[in-house]
Amino acid sequence: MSTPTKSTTYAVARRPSRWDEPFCEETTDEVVDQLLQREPFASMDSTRFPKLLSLRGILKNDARIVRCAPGDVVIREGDYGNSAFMILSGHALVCLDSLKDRLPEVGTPLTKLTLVERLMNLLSSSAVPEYRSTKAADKAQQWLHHSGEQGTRLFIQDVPRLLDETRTITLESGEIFGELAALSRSPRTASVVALDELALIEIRWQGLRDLIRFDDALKRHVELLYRQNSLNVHLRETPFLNQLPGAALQAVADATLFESYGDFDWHHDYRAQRDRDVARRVEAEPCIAKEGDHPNGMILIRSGFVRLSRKSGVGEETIAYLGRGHAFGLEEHWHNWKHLRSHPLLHNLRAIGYVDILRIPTPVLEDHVFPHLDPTQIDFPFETGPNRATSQERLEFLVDQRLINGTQAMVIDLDRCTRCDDCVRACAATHDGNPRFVRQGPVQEGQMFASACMHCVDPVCMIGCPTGAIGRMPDSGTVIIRDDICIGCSTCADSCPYDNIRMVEIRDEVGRIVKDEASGRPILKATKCDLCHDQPEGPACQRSCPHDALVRIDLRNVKRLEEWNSR
Amino acid sequence: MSRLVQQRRSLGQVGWRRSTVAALRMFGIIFVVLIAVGLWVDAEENALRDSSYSTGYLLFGSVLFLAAYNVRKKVPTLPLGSSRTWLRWHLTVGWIAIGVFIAHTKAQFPSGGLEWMLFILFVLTAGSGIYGLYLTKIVPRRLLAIGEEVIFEQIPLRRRAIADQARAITLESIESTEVLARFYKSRAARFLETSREWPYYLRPTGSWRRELEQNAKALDRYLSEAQRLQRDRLSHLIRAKDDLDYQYALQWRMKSWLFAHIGMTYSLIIVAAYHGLVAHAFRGVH
Repeated sequence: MSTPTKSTTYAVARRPSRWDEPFCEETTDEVVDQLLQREPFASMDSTRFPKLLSLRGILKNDARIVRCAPGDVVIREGDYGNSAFMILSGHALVCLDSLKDRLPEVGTPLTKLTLVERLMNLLSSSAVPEYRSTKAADKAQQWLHHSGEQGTRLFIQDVPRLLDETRTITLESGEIFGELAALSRSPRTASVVALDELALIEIRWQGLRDLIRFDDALKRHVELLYRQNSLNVHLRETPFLNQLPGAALQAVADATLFESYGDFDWHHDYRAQRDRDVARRVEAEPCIAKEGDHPNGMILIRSGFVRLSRKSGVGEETIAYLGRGHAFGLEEHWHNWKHLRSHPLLHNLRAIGYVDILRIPTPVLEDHVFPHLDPTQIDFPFETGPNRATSQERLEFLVDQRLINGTQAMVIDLDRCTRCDDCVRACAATHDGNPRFVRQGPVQEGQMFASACMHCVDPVCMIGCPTGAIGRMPDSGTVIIRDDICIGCSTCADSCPYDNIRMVEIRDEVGRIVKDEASGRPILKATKCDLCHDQPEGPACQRSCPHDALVRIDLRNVKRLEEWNSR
Repeated sequence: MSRLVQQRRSLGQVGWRRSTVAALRMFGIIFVVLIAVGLWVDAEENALRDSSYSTGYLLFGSVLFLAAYNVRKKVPTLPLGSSRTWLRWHLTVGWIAIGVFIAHTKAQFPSGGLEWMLFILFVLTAGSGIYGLYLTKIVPRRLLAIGEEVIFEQIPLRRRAIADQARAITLESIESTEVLARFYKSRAARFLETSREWPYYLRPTGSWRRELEQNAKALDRYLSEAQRLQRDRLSHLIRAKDDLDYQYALQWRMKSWLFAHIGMTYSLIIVAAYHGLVAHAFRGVH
């Protein structure tokens, strides 16, 4: 580290710390005292928590009290969330059946527009940009319950009917829910509705993670839930494990370890640091496994992305990026078992963003997996996998720009694009005169990765939406925003690491900006590419390009991009 | 040879094969259709019928089909096929229309005023189409070679920003020397603060930029090290403005060409329809 010279001047500032912005200002010391009297916090050994991450500190800064009226939807099936809940008083219903008839469904409408509807849309297209009917705004209110400082929630009007017609489980005081989805960034698997006046403690994922880290009982509880609900399914989906006999697979499941790396809120840091030196950014990525180390269990990627790299000069060269279902370390373990050697790891494995992994310990592999494994089943994705079909520069670019997150990225071949903007006009024509992307973005090897929603694998934009207006369509995975229940809070736009969501001021039929009655401020709506989900022929941008210069493509498999390049 | 290079080369060969097959298919269709038209015209003439009516209808129908492409672009939400397919057929039918036009005119210049107007309109429309095809092949590469991508509508704003920066550098330099300010006022200001004259848009060249850069560089003998850095920043802005002007000229050419091509197509349809009416009205009168 260099020592500052006398001539160097510095500004002084306090280093930002994790709890500079508590989850909720209303979580006072009195509230924390009350929480510490209740289970499970009363049984937690506060001496096991470090001073800087005390149990009291976690509850004060990472938790808040939430109150719900009967019928309020606490979490909705399909939504993404970053917090878990524990009931303090009252009862909640876990709905085992879908509530799609009672709530605005994630990703509706599911039906494609008919020819007549499309013609009508063309004829009735508004000349006013971002025009919204005031009737649509009124319709939104039927779903929403505004409860002052507690924010806005969806609610169900007829709870007794819900009990009659839907299979439910009643949760009561002390029970926890929502923790798996919060920790693994997966969609909520069921909706939870308040049965009566409900008081909950909501803990954001960072706090939950630390509670699990320092309290064995909670850790066991969460792991047990994952083992019961998801682990066997994940292992069965893994190519070289799906042939194992039941007993061997169970032995693997029993011994599998869970680990998480990286920052759950990586998108905030990424936006702030994307102009930083790339080598420094790579160095800052958490190292899951190090080149040259002895293999310590095979790693399966459960969610997120990892960078596979090896030392090159003073930096690291990216070999591949791996995602859900890929394995790391299998080749080395197999080699060592087969030849009774101790070959070290050939590559580094670094977390890009936030990554959940499963680690299968070496003895379990040797005792229960390898004896049943046909060597031809071993797939080494980083040696023969799809993302080796591209140039080193492109691979580094896709990983550094985090474009590997995109399942429907818009790529424009600038060698063919005449800049005629037919794509932009077609997008506008399909969205009532308002284009939903910008024909600009990073360029690499003559290809532009335009600023259009990529419908990401890890859709960080969905985290924290208070009304569930942003969601995935269940059939296609397309991420769409329900305009009628979007309250314009900008959470999604602020979270998108690629700046692909835009907040717009809506206008009435004569072009006046619509203002909120109470605050007098313009009403905003979040807008983005919806992949023309209601158009039977697919994205208008792609179909409107005369020169075949634009494609919507899944960047998880870069081979497709190369195939398109060579069309 | 590495596996990666082999993979990329094999993908490239697949792409080349696909595009060659597509081109051959288009030429095959054009060839077959034109042979068929030739035989048809020959049969009509042998039967002592005037082939001009048949070829006229075929030509007018082709022009209507060619014009329909623009209608397809206006209604992207209707299930009318992809723009790429339309362009392919637009080019195919366009080449066929030129062949039918030659058959219709019997490869002779017209005699009447209306016919001359129609003749010139067709030649201009077809010629602008061929020019457009040429532009679509060369302009993207030239734009890509510039480096930075700027949306056409944003270019004036970017020019303004460059001019503001240049003025700021010049004002900053006045504190220590007047050399840069004199250069800016006498030579660079007009380049940086105004749009190019129209001949530039027809044939963009970098001669003005090169001249200014040379002149700016020649000032170094009067400048200190710090002032040279300011001059260097000014030269950088001159290059940036020239790149923007070049982008503007290329993109303007693409847009103007299409505007002219579509305008002439609609004029052609109107005059051709009138020509058809007149031809039918005076049918048999010689």
